[in-house]
Amino acid sequence: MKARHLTAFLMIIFVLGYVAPALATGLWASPADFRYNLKPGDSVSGEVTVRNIGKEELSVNVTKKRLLMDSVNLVYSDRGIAQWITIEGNTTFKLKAGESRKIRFTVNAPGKINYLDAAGALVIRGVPVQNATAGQIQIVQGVELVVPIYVGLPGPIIESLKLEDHKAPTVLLSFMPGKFTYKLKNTGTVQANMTGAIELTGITGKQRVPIDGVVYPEDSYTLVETWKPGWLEFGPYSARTEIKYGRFHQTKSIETTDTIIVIPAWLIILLVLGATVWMIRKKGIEPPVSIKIERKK
Amino acid sequence: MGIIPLIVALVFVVAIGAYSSPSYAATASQTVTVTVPEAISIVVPDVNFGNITAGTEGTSPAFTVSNTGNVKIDLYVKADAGSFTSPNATDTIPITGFKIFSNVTGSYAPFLTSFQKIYDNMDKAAQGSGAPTTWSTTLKLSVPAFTEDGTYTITNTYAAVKHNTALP
Repeated sequence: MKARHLTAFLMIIFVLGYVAPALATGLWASPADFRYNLKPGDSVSGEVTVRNIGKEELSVNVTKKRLLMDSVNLVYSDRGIAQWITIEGNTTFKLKAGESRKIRFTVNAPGKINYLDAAGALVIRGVPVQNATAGQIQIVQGVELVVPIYVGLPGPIIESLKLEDHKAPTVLLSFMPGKFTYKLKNTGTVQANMTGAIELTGITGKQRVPIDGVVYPEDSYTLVETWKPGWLEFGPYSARTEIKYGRFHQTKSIETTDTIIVIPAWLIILLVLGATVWMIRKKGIEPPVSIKIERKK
Repeated sequence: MGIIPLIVALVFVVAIGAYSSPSYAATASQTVTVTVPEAISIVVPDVNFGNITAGTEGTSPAFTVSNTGNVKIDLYVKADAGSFTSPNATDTIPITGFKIFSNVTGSYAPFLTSFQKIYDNMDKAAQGSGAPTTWSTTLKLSVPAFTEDGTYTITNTYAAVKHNTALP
């Protein structure tokens, strides 16, 4: 009897597992790309059909981008051809399973074409409207169809950050914040994600000031970091700055070295006290109050 | 001259005429052109990672990414954020410990917040049957020790681009 129940239970699980559809996100678009031979000032229009071929309702977003790529990475940019493309109608809409929609666009070439800026794309992104995943770790899976619009070639991915100028304090007192200023310019084509640190090495040991930031292409960025010596720090310090940067991994670096003299506050206090005592003794100034200490009888 | 020799002579003359008369033949070629529109299409299933104990690494069930279009594609993936977030916990789980098995490298590749290729030149759906080309992969996630309990979510995006996109 127990075996019969178990068999029936397993059968139900099997049938439910077979019949219940696995949820999936799917998008279809046609054509897969556009190739135009445009001359400066020319204009052309095109149309893409997009369809939800998955089993879930999707929130769809269509954007226009310039493509930057190498053999492994794909990066979007809003410059170049991205500014020549105009998408007609709504760029955000919902598609139920099986529904489709046409997206029209126009490319207006500028008076001067840089053909290395001229590989663009309509990026059609679909994400399930409802998160159907379960468990404590939930992964929502979205899909993106990249429909290239070629007038020229995709731009190269160039990671390049230049240090145009930098300033560091030469003399610091205890508790006096010193500013390290680095003027950086991104001369590449992709954003430079920065990490790194200023390592200050002196008689009393090492101190580390972390660096973090992002510089976008063609932007200038002033990085300012502050170090404040405490009671214990004194004497000459070597400040070695390493700024690691890269779009994906921080594999490139910029290095600088500076020397800072830290004058401790306690030394100044001691000097002032010493000078005062010396002055008092030299001039024979009697103190206005005298305290006599006597032994108890 | 009798009638029979006359008929024989006529048949002979007709036969000779038929044999020697010129014949005309014409050939014409026809070019038929048909354009099959290209379509790019992928399907990615939901993946239920389940629960992972803090301080350990979990592996997702295998799931299949399908090329359901009629062009070969390059497949890219990215995480939409730098960490898993929770609506009811203050901790986050960074994507530095989140990986996907890549067909390009043959090993687990850490997720980035920008697209990296995980399959180069994925074949199109089969002609005729339309059976998609499929590829099975898994995800791994390390949850830092003492991560606050809760439900943590992230969105992954899989991007398809027609293969042989010209490189700079």
